[in-house]
Amino acid sequence: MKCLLCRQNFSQNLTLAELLHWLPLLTDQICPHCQQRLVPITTACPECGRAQTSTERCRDCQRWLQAQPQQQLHNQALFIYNALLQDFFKRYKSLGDYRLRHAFNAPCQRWFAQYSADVYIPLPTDEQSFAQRGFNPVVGLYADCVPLTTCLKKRPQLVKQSHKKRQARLQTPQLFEFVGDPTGLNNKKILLLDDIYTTGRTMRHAQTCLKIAVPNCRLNTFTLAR
Amino acid sequence: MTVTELSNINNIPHLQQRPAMTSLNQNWLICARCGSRQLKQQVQLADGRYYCPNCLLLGRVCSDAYLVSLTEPNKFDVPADLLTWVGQLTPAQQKAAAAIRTYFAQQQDHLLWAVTGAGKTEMLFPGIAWALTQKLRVGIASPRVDVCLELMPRVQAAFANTPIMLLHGRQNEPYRYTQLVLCTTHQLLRFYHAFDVLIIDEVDAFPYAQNPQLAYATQQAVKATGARLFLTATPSPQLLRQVRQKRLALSYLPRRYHGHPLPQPKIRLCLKWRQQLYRQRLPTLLQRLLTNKIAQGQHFLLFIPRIELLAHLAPLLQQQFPDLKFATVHAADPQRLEKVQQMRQQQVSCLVTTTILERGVTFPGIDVIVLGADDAVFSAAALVQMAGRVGRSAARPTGAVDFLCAGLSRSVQQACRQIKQVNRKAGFK
Ligand SMILES: [Zn+2]
Ligand SMILES: [Zn+2]
Ligand SMILES: [Zn+2]
Repeated sequence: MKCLLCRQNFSQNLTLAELLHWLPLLTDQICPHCQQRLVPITTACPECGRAQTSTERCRDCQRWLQAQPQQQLHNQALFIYNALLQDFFKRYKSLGDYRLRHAFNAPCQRWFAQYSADVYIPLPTDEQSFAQRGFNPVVGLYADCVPLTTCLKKRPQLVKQSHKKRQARLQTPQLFEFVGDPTGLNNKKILLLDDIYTTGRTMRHAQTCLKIAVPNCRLNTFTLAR
Repeated sequence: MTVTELSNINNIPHLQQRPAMTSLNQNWLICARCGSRQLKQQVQLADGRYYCPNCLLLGRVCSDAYLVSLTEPNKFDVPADLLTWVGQLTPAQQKAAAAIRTYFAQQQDHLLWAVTGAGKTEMLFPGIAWALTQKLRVGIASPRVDVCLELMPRVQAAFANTPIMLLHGRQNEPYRYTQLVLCTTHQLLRFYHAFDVLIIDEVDAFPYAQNPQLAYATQQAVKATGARLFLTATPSPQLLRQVRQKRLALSYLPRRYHGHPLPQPKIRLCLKWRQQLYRQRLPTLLQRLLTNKIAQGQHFLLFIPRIELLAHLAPLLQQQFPDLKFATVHAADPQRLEKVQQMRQQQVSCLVTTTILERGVTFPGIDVIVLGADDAVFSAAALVQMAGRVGRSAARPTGAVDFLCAGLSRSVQQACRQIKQVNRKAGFK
């Protein structure tokens, strides 16, 4: 089988347990060599999921807390956003290699299986990026792992998020609107999904938007990288 | 480019357009830019379109896009003082150079089989000069970036008054339209029926050796009336088959420019070298060879078959030979070009490297050691090329090549036999 990240051939090392509970999607799409370059996040900031030695709120999140005390996040991220993942996202999102969407299916599935929310909501992309890419990168990453509920819409943007300075990003007006009927989400355990956590602005916008539409829900967030 | 974008520029004259991807049947489609076949189900986007993952680095093409190209107008100002090269060709080189020029004029594809160190580049200059004065557009392509970078200053010096565009994946200079273009074979995909003369250097080099796309890339970059010249020291069976089928003309240059034979590799049995490395011990034979070379101040290349061995070997070298200045290089090494430069300027006396440096790159007066020459990654052609790094300069036309093997592979035997054959053909015993 060919590694999705480095295109080298490799053979699967399945554990006995995996063989017994054989799930086709749990097969690894990345080779052991690339796996080694992935750094899983173990101890992290409780709000943003940043890898750190303590479990205290990190400095960025303290600043957020002062600015908006009523709005706290509970984000968990799987891996540190290192060179390997930067390269991955460059090829997946910028170059548009849609095949790469399966690269992290196995670790994501393992994580979702343990976490088990009622509803999984992917963060949307705006229509322009969708038309350009031909896919929503967040939906691509998680669609084969859990059933996704699409109920957020991104408002059209003038400047691309990644081209903005950090300060400009922090001040942008609400990026999302809720579409559809929110009653089904009442009292549910909801997990909001994004690909990378950078400043947290996007996630906080999405959370605020959801909390207004569905005031009674347990809401956490998840990203592949931080 | 999408249909709407295309309609906006449609009134430019000489514009040719063709769909970027065409469906072959229910399951497969073909990319018109790189010629690769793609399984529809694997390359379908969420919105239903298809894309080509193979030539993604040149910017993604989708099934709703068109490829647009300008018909080559051949409007060039040829400088009066065109060929600024002042060197001398040997009689054998002159003969090959004349053949090259004739095939260019006859618009014929041609294979020049020249031993490593025959002075291929110089032989091209008369033919290129002729083509340029005829206002023909000339492209020189190589599969390897290193080779392009090495060629650029030499070609530029030979045609000092001619602007040359150098194109490769790691360079950001904006594209200029020039009569003479130097590029990687991958970049040829950007050209469509553009060149009257296309020279492909090191045609059988990694990573294109067994790649049917090289044929596609060169075919679509050259005009229907154009001529291709393939240069190689180790022609593949496919190329030789084309020669037999008379689809390719062949000329042959078995002698190095300084007249000395190719160094014959010494096969040395070095059992269990890999296990020794893993146990953090330098294989005795390697240790002895290195001690000798270092004592003589001899610079050398140490080829190894796998990247992961670098991590085992480098600390051992450091520990055993603390005075040895060396660098380790592999294909994905971001500092690769700098390290090659260091070796060339003799700032380091040894490069420990995977196969990537095997072709085109010249270091004067070096020796070569191939550790694990029998490993499956080394083809016979690669081994001939690695051995061919030695004895390139007239100042030191000989040198030592050592193949360290745990066993004897077919590739090692073929490589040694090929070198012997070539030397015999050149009149050496
Ligand atoms: Zn890999
Ligand atoms: Zn934090
Ligand atoms: Zn393609």
